[in-house]
Amino acid sequence: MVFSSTDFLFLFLPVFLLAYFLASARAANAVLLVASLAFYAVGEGGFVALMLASIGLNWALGLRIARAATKARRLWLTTGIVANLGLLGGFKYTGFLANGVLGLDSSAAAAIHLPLGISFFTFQAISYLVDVHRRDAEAETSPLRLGTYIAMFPQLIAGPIVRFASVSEALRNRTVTLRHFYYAYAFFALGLASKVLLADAVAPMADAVFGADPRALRADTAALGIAAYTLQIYFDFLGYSAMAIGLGHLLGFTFPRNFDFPYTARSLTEFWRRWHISLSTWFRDYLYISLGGNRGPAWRTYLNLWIVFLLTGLWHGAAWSFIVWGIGHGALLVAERLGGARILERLPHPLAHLYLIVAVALLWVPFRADSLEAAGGLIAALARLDAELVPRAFLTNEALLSMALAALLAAPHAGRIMDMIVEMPRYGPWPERLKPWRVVAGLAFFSLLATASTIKLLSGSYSPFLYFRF
Amino acid sequence: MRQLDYPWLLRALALVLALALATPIVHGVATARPAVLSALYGRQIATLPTAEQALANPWQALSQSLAYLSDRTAWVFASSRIVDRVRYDWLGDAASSKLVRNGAFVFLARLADTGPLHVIESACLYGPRAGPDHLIEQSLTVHGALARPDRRVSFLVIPSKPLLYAERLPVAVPKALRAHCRTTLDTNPLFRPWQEALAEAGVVGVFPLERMRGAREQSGYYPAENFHAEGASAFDAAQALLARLYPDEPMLQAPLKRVRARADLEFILRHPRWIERLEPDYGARRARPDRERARALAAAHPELRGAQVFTAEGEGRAVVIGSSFSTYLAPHLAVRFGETIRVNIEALPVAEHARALGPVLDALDADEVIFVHHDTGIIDGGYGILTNALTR
Repeated sequence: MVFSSTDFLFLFLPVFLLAYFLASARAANAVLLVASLAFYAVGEGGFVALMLASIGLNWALGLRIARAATKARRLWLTTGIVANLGLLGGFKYTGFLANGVLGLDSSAAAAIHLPLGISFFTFQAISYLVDVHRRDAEAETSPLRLGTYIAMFPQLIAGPIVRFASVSEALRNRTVTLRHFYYAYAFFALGLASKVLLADAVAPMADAVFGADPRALRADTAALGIAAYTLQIYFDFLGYSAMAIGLGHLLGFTFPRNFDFPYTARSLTEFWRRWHISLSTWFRDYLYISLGGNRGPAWRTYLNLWIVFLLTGLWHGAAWSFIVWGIGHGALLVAERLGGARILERLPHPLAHLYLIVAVALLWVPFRADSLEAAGGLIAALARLDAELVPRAFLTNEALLSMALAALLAAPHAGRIMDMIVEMPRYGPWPERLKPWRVVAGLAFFSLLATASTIKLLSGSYSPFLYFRF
Repeated sequence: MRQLDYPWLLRALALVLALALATPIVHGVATARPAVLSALYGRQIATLPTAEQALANPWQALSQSLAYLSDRTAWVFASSRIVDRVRYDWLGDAASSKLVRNGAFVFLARLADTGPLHVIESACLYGPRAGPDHLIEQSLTVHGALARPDRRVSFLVIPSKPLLYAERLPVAVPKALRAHCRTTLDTNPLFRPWQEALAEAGVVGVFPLERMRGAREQSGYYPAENFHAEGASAFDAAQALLARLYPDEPMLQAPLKRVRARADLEFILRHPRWIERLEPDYGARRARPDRERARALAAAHPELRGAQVFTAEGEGRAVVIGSSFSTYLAPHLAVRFGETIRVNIEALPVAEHARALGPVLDALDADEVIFVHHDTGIIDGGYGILTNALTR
């Protein structure tokens, strides 16, 4: 079940809203956990047992870590990390290891089902254990509360990755206010529109170009297809995160911001402070720092960066193309550390932006392509001046308009202009008071977005989130 | 613990939001007409699982229940129409992967289960193709099986839009294919030798490409949002055949007038499309449908179920057999005859009924049997099916 589906919007969500808000204060977490497990079960059937096993395992391990003496604490933590990564690795990487790396051609390995959201909830579980070990958070004594944290449906299948420490207090005691309700509505409407009206509108262009024979693509066609995907993946993921954050507000939780206009960055270093923030900070806090971060010699820092981005690539998918994507980002980050950043700082801002956009867009090619060969072919097409397939073979006016609008909205200016009229939802500290007329204008605006998105949704396109299968 | 600030207000808001969100499914389930939905979806819509099914396989039952609700969600088709109209009218897109358009001029590019530009490639003879000999042989076989001394068999193949308007194909069609279409339009490599070979054998076969090409630039001649030739273009094609069948008769004069009509591609566009087309005004000589006669014929001959009958002031009886293009051609042919019976061959289980064609035609005592197809239908094997059935 995805948020932009009729099952979720018109069946699950209304039933859940009634159950959650009519439940007593004490029963709310139980309602949320049951609903989350039901949400997972609809998509994954019996694999909900895997979710329950993960909850039980991490609950027990968390308590062990909290109560053990120092040496044993580390041992229990290691056990927990190995167990969680083993779960992830077993389901996600067995096929790739057997067939892609060892060349065994095993159909059994290839047929292993990848449970939805396993990359997200195992990372959340690991962050919980590490936070308990570091004493950044108390171990959760209630399996119900820990289960609610791990399984919570808003961020279960595609993030943002929520740290236990940031929600542990809210799990015990939270208040839902009218402002939560308003921001929930606003975030959800904005997220749904991002996904349905923007990402889904440019997706056919991207799909058509990436699906075509690259030898038949002209340079401008290839470039348009890559640009379309660059926008698609951003608004798809941004949309999902916004909906997750909105739903979080509805429940009384504040989830972290996941995107901060990443395409406005002027270096890859800055890009990774703005893109999928919950993942990049997770890798920074739990892997990069554990490896030594930048505390050692320069070569060690660069190695740590490579390792982190190699694993970031692998986290996204079990295929060589994702590894190439991760290595590509790692290489450019190291290059920036080696002096590239100073050059970028001295460049006029538009040129630095151009570098970032070109680098990120080109690296999306192996990320999206069906294979490394296809990725190479598409990049080679960027140099082809004459070929059969011209942009108009794929480009609809709808896609063109959506791409133009998406490019405009990828910068913060449009949001700031809207904020003059409409009470836009905020990630950061909330203003003390909201002006009623801005709230009314906001309700009208977000209702218009929601209606347009719903009409588009009803018109029949099934649109799974791109990060759905990570 | 979860506290609610202003609990009853928030609960009321949650209730309102929940009711609003649930409306499409609640309304849909309450008002669903399964037969109508099945027709719209083109498949059987899901039913609720029985208690036994739910107990036997709960996951399957859950899936089936969700499918039941999804199939009945209200306003799906209304929303589709809105989105398609926005795409088509406001954004100028083709609004369907089956179509390509050049401004107001729309071409059918593909059918449901074919390659993305199959219809255009077929009309323009793009790619490896058999030569005219096979087509000539099939036509002569059909003629040989059905012609009698007192019954003439003739063939009319209508050029479809991608060929007739090859210069107007949009840039969404690859350059090589567009160029090939223009070449095919100029050289007519398949149907020119076909016409000549049939003429040599004393059989009338007409592909009125040049005649229609001469008239095509008139606005409304071939309706912009049609797949089928209709109105003036159908009239021209019919006149081309009648001129060959009855060379000594003067050509029928019918002034052309502009009429507002529904476009036949609206079944793909999924919303009503009104177009302007040129329509010949036959006045008192126009052919009139005779539904009673059609019912009587269908009762007597099951092969003629769904057939149309036209009566007019002309002489003799013609049977027009063909693809959907024959629906639009038949009234223009029918003005020449006293009675015209039009049979849609695509509606017949062809093998059985094709074998019965001969006896049915004998029973009808037809003077003329006219096969009417469009070019892509023939290129994709239209006569072959008939030939196979008739020669078994």
